Amino acid sequence: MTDRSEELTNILLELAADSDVSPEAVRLAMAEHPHHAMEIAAFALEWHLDQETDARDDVPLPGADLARLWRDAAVCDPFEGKSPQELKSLAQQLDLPIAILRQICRRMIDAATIPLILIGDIARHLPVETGALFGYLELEPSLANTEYRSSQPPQALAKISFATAVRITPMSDELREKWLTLAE
Amino acid sequence: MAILPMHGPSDTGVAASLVRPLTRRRKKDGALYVRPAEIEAEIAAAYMRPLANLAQDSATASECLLHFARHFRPNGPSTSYDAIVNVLLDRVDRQVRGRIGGIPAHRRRDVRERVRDELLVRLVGGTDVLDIFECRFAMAIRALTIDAIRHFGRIDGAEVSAEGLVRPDSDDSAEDVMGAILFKRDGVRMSEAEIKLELTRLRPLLTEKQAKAMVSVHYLGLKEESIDPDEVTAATLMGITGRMVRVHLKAAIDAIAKHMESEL
Repeated sequence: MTDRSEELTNILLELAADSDVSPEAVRLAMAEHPHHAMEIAAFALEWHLDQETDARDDVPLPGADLARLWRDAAVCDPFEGKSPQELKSLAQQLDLPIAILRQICRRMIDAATIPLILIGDIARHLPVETGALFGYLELEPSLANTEYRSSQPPQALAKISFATAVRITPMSDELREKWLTLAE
Repeated sequence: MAILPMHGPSDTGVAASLVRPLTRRRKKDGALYVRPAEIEAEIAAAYMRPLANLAQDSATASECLLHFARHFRPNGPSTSYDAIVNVLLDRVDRQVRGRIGGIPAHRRRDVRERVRDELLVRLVGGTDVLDIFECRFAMAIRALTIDAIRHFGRIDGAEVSAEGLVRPDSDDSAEDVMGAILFKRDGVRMSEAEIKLELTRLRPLLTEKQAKAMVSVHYLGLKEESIDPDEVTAATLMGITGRMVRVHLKAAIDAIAKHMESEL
């Protein structure tokens, strides 16, 4: 996509979202962007004559390459350098048992099962980008808590769901109910 | 989707603070884009769930999925993030397919891929224009679809001769016929909503050229033609002469008149 076509497409998006392509907005856009006037008018014409014509029998598209969506930044440990006391303090602020926060730090909990509000809240406290934290939590579990025998490569433990972690961790009934409701 | 109960003032406040206002892009008048209240509420409620649940819930609004696709972009592979994006892309494709039945079969896939790519490019770039998508997702995809159809139409040079579309025999003097084509009722310009209804009613009666001539001149207010070669007119827009624009307008009037006569 060229800069020019992106600029034009963005003009058309604004026209659609802001005014539902009203004649007045079309005239203003044409006057404001005379080099795109023809395209704007043609788009407006199609917009108002556009009709739903189904092509639902078409074959599915091949999967999109979603690796391009990864942020252009190295994955790093957002908890690095946090002392046990700082983690304990963070757990208190999150209203979360420290044992569960430690499991989160070690990526032992499946990130997709953690309530989004908790991920957002941890990111805000650290502070790091929510996506950067989420990407880190999606990595394989840390090998820090693995069973290791010299004759075999170290094996990471399987991740558990957030709800399972809540069920097996000691905490008050009220707190357990709160987190289970968010997790399920 | 079910709106989960908040668990006290702290959770409510945290969820609300996570649903940050859209601040990236401004409208022409300088105002920021604002999500509809129901979308804001749905995003706030979605924060009270895990990401895995969102991807599985067909009732989750596309604007809501896009919000998380924007803000949870990881630094590396993530199956649960991909699941959210794939659900969103499936919806986009479904919407696009609902509007491309009328274009040549060999171009449908091109249009579908182009619209998908336009959205992905904006997600990758984290562009400001995604604020618009987070407010009116379906409207934005419709705009991208029309733009893509036009893009490939230009490549293919898809224009048909209009000379044979004229129907010379009918009376164009009836006031109600002129009212219809001028989008007026009792001499007064119809409202936008009325015009949309009128277009839907009249569209099946008209050829593509007749409809384009009518909307260009009588709705968008373009001149039929101009001596200024740089001025955008119905003639330049349709790639035909001013005389042919008038021919199509006349034919549109005839078609509407004939239809009205048959209704009497």
